[in-house]
Amino acid sequence: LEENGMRNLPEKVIVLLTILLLGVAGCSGGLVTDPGKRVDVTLPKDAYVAGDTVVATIRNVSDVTLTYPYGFCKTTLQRQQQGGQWTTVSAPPGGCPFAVGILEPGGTVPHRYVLAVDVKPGVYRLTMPSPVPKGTTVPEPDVTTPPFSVNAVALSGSM
Amino acid sequence: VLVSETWGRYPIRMFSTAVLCGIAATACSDAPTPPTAPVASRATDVMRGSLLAVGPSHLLRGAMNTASVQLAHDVPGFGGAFVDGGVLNVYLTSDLNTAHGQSVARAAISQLLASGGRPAMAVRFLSAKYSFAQLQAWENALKKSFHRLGVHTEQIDERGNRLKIRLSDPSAGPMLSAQLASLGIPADVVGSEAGGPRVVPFTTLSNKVRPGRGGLSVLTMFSYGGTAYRFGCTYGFNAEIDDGSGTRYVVTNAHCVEPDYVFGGLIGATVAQPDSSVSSLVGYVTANPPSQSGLMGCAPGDSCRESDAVLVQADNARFPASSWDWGGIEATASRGVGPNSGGSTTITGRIALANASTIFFAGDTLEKIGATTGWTAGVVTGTCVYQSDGVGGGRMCNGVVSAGANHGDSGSPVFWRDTNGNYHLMGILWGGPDASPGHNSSEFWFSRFQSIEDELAPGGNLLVVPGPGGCIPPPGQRCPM
Repeated sequence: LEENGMRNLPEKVIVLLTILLLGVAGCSGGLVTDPGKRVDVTLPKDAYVAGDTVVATIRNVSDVTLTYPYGFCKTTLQRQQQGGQWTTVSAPPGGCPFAVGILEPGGTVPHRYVLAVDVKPGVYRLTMPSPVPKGTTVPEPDVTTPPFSVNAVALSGSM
Repeated sequence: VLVSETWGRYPIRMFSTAVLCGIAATACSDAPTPPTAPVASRATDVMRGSLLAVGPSHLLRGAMNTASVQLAHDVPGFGGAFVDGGVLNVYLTSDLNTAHGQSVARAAISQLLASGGRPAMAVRFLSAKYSFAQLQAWENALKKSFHRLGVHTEQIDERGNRLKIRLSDPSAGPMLSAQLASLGIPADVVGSEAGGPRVVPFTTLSNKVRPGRGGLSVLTMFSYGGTAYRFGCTYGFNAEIDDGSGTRYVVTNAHCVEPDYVFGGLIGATVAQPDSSVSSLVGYVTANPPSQSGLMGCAPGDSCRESDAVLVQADNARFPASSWDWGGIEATASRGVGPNSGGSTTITGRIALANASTIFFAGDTLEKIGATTGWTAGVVTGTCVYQSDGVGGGRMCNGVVSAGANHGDSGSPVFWRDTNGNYHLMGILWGGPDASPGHNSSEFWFSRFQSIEDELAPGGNLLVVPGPGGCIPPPGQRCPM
């Protein structure tokens, strides 16, 4: 009996995986269900100085049109602490223009963030509202840039 | 043991796989599964039975299989049925309104009610002049003329045992009479009426709507710095400048036609309502003054605009004068009031602006119609608030209203209703605090009309309604009041 069961186990696994995959596809409606996987956020470099402009590129890697608040309003700058945790070091603006940005599948949009001139050296990241499919009414976790360093001495160039 | 052996048998394994995969693939489908009609086979029969009266089978649909259609199939002489005071009134043609006919009808009605899960009802029989099948046949014959006659709605009137027709044009009544005569339909079969509100599908602010009015959803498209941008905003209001040119404009926000790191000065963006199809084109941005530093009221270090507004010149071919409702704002079904409020986006009418105004006070109630949050209203909490965007831009002298708005509402017309019921345009909304998915803002901020006019029609007047009698003033002059 054991031998018989063992012989058929891979087939069972394949069938069950097929069912699982089909089920996931059926339930998702073609969306990337993990909000963090709908977009890629990249930076052209990983070191800046205070006063530089950080230009993050947000790419829609899902197959649906996404919307985002104009200018990714309420982007925050976070600094990594010694324990590894992130703390917000910049207050977002008090208000936002109320246009809604539209990001087609495969499309990209740059988001510029000016580092304040008094930013201390350290490791930072930007967090910004997650682009979401149109009609989404439930807030989703913010997306973040890769970590980058802010150095004390001026580097050549910016961005 | 049995399970293991079963899995090892190829045909059964295939069958199991197919069944399970089928279940998996359909279990979470977004498409609703049509409910199975409990009388499906009977319904088919009914429809087939109706063919004699109403026409070819390929034109029939299950949706037409009403209770009356089913009773018409099962009850000889059935002429229609309606409920009144909890009693089901059933028409039978006079010749069949007999004890036997009523017995047949009662049995059919009992079966029909049971099949629909409804309890038994008291039944009252009435004598009918026409059978339901006959009315269906006449109805079908008349349908061929609906377009020519301008028929807006038509039905078999089950209370009246006749047809009921509503004509779009009252003057088509004689044509209808002539058509009835030519088809051999007795004149008393058809009751017609004209006018009344048109029955239309619900239209929302995000649908394509013409003529274009304030409050509708607009899409803006432009390229800058190698990136193609698209933003969703709101149609502000229609306007002309009193320069004698007759050029038609739509006003919306400047930030809708430029990236967030540019503040004024860009022209050329395409504006469409509501989508990017060619037929949706509204026009192109032709006026968007650059921000300036050193303006009176602009904070040192900031570059400022008086307003967050642009002129979109209407495309005469795709967005002609007939597509442009001067002085019109869409009205929606309901209005939300106060902080974080949201209103309906279903269009139910038109708000006619009386004029534009520059006068409002703290404590006034102002309203807006926005593509995302619809019609909201609230109390003015600020009449001239400076806003710095934190990166060197400043918007001067904004109005602030404690009412909800959200992303996509940029450009919304903001207006005030006076005690006489007249509406006065006060400006266009451009932003607010703390909006997020599922959570409207506690207040919205808007550019005042005076600021918009100063920037977009310098030295002239921005006309938001035609003058008295449709007057368009010549350059430098005003229409007589």
